[in-house]
Amino acid sequence: MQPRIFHLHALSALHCGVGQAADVVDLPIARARATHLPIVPGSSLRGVLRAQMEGDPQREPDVPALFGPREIGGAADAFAGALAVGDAHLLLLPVRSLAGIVCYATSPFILRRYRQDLIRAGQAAPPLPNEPREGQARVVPDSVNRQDGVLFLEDLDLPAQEDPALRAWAAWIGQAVHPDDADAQTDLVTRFALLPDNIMHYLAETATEIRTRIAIDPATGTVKRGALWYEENLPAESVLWGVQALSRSNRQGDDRDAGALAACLPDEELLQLGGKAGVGRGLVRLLRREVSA
Amino acid sequence: MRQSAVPQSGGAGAAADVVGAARPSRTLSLTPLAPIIVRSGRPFDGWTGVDPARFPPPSTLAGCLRTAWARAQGVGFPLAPDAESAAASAARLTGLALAGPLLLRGSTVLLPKPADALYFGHGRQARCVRAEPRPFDTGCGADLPEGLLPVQLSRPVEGKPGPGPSWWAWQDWLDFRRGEEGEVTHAELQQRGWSPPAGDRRTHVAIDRDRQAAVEGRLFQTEGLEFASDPSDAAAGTFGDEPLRLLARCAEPLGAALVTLGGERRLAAMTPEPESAWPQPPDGWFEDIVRAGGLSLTLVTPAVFAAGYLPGWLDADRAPPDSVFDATSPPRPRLHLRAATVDRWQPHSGWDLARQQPRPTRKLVPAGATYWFALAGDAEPEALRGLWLASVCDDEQDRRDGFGLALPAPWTPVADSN
Repeated sequence: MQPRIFHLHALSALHCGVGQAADVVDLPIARARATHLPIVPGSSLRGVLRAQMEGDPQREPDVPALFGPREIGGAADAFAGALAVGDAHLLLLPVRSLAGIVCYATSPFILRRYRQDLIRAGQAAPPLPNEPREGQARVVPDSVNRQDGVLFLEDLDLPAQEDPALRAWAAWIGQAVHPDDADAQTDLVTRFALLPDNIMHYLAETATEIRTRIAIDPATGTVKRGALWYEENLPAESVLWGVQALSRSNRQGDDRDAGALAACLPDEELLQLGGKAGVGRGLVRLLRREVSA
Repeated sequence: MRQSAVPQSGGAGAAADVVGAARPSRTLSLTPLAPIIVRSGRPFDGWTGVDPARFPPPSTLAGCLRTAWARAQGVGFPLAPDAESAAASAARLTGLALAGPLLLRGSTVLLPKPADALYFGHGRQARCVRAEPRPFDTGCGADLPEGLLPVQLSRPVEGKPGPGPSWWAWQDWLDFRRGEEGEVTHAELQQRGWSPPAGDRRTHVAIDRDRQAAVEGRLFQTEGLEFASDPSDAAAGTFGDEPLRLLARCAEPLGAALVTLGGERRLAAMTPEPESAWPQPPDGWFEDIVRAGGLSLTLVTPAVFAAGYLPGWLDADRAPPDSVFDATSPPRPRLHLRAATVDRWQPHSGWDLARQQPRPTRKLVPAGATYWFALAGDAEPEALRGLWLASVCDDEQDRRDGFGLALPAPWTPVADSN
């Protein structure tokens, strides 16, 4: 199968939920079972991408080959879609910073997995940077978040060491997320930080966006009894990555190979992903352009 | 003596670094990129409940690798539209022999817990106790088939069965089979082994494209098995960095590729490994078997036998079948079954791609089942070599699919009575 890396860039808070939970947060976001890091399930992205293409008369004829038949009457009608979409994993978490407003945080574990996937997709990724020391952070030399040698993230103060080697990764991700916007790339690079895994784990649990919602009773104009709930979101500007793979078409009479089918998929697309679209959640850019080394 | 029979190969990271350039190999690892969904095919409803997340059976892996091989060759897949060509393609695909899956953590092979190892107690009191074939005490008996010995605990144990790892590190498995009682503690087995975590359950809805709302009645859940780092590491605030991989062997060499594995077209990264990554027998292993006059065969993948838990070849010439991987297998040894320990059967089905219909449900003998044999007549060590990780299933297609891989180990037969 032909692999390709995709990135998701959240333009608004993103809520890909798991249904309800009996916890403090009523509507938590989906997380990986093993790492508990936020994910966007591949099935969510695949469904939204399909719906988007079905709504476009020019692209609609390609939908069955990519995604499979919408309805299956029997075994004779069935065939597998050529597109397999993996889960999207958190790459950069925007975290509130005392200096520079926001910091784009990642960790060695995340970069290592990201790099493995890049290599699987045939891309020449930069070498892994040195890991930060326990309780410390590494930032690019001209970081706007570093103040007096310290990074203040949420309620954490982390001594921050400058590391020129981080610039290659920050520039790589900047190019993937903002391919045609040099200012946005610079903005991302100067706010890039590498945190120890345990601190990243803590922030991915506690620094997501929790929004409190209520429902108003139209008759009284006041809060409905019991209608108070909490929703968790990935904050706007979060960046995720995932792997997709294409095979040749499995549809009878359609001989297109993976390369031909790849041309049917957009390099960049604005999607509405996850729940709570009516209140502005889930505006996401899907980016599939390869980064030149 | 603790001697590793598995040479060091690259860890997960090292394997990934060379994924594009690695030469095709018959030994392969698969790194699942998401929780893998495998069901048994057993019907379920509100009363019987669904199956829990399941370790991929050999047939799932066989389907995955045969598809990868067919795609790499550019022939025979998807199956041709006319029946004759489709049948020829299907025959070519199903003729490709596979073995596995085993597990890899870094460069360490993991094997299913032998059924003759039992856990008792909890916490610090937890221990692993061996069960072994022993004659009945005087005045005792059971309705076992004629000639079979009961499998009894090797020492008296008080207390109730407890939890423990369901996969063991290769070296621990070897030590257990060597009979080094007390060498491996429960804590060590736990630390070096693996227990599948609770399933990754996801709730899905279907969206009506006109209304952009959930379709009534289209709410469903899937449960996948997580192969990434140990969740206990995540609880401690770190993520771990050694994802588990599936280890397999294929009759034809395959290169690095992304493949789909199990349901929902979840992705896995296939990486060629050195041939030596496949477990090799320790020095003098088969000589030890001949000296002992008997052997145990422990299943490391589930098996299908014509006679339930018993291999059908025991009723024929009592010689295990030839290896599907080695056309020059030496003459097979003849074996006399003395005892067996087998856990509860597992239901198994699947989708027949060639016939476009579900396969009939069958009962699998679970991995870990152990059979003890006395060598019937003289046997040469070379004759036993063909049993190493060979399939002992009765049906040739089951052997090609990788069911019933068994590991022989020395065992000294015991007398029928005290």
